[in-house]
Amino acid sequence: MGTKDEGNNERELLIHKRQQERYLNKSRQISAKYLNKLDELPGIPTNLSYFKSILYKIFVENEIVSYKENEIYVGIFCVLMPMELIYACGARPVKLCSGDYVGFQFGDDVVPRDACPLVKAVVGNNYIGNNNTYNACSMYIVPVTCDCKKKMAAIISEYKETYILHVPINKKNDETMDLYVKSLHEIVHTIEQKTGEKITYKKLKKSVQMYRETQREIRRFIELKRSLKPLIRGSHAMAVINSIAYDDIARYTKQLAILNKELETRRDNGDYLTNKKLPRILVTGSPITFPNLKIPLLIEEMGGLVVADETCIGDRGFTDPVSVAEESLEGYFRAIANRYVSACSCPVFSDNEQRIHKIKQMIIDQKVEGIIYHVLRGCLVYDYEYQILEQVFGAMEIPIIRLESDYNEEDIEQLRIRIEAFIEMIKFKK
Amino acid sequence: MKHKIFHGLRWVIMTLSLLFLAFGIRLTGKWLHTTDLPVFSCPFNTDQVIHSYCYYLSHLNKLVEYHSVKYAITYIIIFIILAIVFGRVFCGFICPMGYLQDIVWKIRDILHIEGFSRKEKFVESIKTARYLVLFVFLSITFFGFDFCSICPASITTQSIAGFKQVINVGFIFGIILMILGFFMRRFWCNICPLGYLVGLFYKISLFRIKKDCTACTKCRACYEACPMKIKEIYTDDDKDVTKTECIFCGECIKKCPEDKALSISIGNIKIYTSSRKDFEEYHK
Repeated sequence: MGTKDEGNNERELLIHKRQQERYLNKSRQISAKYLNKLDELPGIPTNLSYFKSILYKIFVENEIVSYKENEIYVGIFCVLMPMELIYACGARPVKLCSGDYVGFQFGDDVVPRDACPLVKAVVGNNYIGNNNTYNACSMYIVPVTCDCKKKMAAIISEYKETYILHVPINKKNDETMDLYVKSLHEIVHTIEQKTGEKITYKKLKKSVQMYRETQREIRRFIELKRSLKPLIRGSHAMAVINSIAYDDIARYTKQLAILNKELETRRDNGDYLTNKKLPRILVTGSPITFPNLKIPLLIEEMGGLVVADETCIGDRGFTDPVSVAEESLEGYFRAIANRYVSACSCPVFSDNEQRIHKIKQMIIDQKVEGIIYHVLRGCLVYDYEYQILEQVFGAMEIPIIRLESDYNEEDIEQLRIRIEAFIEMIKFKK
Repeated sequence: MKHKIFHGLRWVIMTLSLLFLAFGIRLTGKWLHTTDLPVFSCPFNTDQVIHSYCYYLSHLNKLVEYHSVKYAITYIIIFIILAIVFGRVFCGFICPMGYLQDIVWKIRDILHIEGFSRKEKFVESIKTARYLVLFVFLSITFFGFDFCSICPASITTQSIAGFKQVINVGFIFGIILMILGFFMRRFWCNICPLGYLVGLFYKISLFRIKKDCTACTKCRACYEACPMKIKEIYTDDDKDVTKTECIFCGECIKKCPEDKALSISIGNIKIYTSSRKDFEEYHK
């Protein structure tokens, strides 16, 4: 009996090992393919190579980007976990919301069919257990935003220490905001125990300042992206913003400044991507994470230009700086809470009118001509808001379409046809 | 750049106003003695012949007693006109009591001591307390008491001017208010009866706070910064968010990171607008 069990165990181990190998091979292949696709898209800035090298290291070499020995990494999900706090505790945040197609396939067996692909990918990566970005993290922090994330927290807690962060549903209520601040304190306490460093006013101020600098560069970058004659393509810009999840923030800021400078000199020299007027598209909706860049890539292959994105792994996380009204540790906590929750336009909040205002402002600022509303299959909260947006922007006569996609390449042709038709329609309207 | 101009100007005006109200009589000599100041003329009036608005508002019976009915009516009309033109700009720029509270708050900022966090219920209870204080302010004279003896503004300006103070109820009241002001910005201003009366005409007053809802990302920074705890500035979707409590201190605009989201305007002319560039400069 015992020997039989052992034999079974051995076989299971063997299968798991083979799964791991298969996972790595396929995952590398797909990531390398999408990095190549970024290269193939004409007009790639030379200084983009740094950001690509980060993605390459994470997704192809399967190694965490590390600059210090014994650095403590905290895996976070969603933009609702303040990264300033993690830096102030002496750890480094790594955003783990995944776009991994292969992780998705493995996760598909673990979570229900209708769960969103992002959760499937995260669970799959944990299940497979040889994604080193995940392995390097000492703990996970999951803000309780949508239902999928809630249950994901329960599943991944089997693999690693996981803490949940309560997020208020109603942003306008002061008491729920206080509760959020309180749960931030609790989270910070657990990180402090991991790093052995105590959070202080000075450290927090420093890390907030560090992020302000990043935000300044990102704003500069967004302003360059919105230039009427294109300087950078949206897919490239998305790769840049995506790589922030895995890099040290100070280094990242420096590199982004270099990229900005390159784009600025090109603007001054009149060296644009093209002098043709490309249809200017705004992408909003469910998260678009590397390597799942198929939608922006398709848009730009079909002759469109992604000038703006209102997605959480895109520009949303970095447009608003922390504005401190009270110079004390608690004041900083509250200011951070305000910026991360109140300014967030994620549809998980019950009253989310500001998202419409925000997109309207983007349409004015970036001269948007069409909106592509991306919905990951199973991402209900975003799907709910499509109707309102369709109504509002329909009245403004801005074309909008809803694209549903999954983490695989099966739907790519279907998406291509729809995107092509949409872009042709905008061109025709002009 | 605009931050520096607006807030620099505010601090300069407030400092000058305190110096004038406290030491004016010493610098200008006796000729000012017979001139009526609109408010807080207490250090000027050593002989207690007071003609300022705040005195008569808290001594309504004296208004007719000392003068005629005609005088009383003109007095009230001029008060209303001044309130419409300047409104609570007075609180943010002139009032020495507000200035002192701003200073203690700045000291707290330098020491990095934690202030009271904003509790909605608490703020609501203060707003109720305001009516109580207003009632006391207007009616205390009919019960034979003198509001000036407990007026915190009178006590602080007079102490600064160098008048000897008796330690009485008013003096202790003043100290308590300063301590509260240390933890909660401009605590007294939230319940100040004079400020309330001045702010009554906010709907037609000349100074306005305007908001561009599309530019606003609703990040709560304005609400967090507001010393008067006006929540509507964050929640409202109107173009005009001027409220009766607003003292035009410009803190919300200073803390607003969005371009053109908030602005102070006189009539239709915008004099101070929020901008990201200013925000970044300020936080460098």
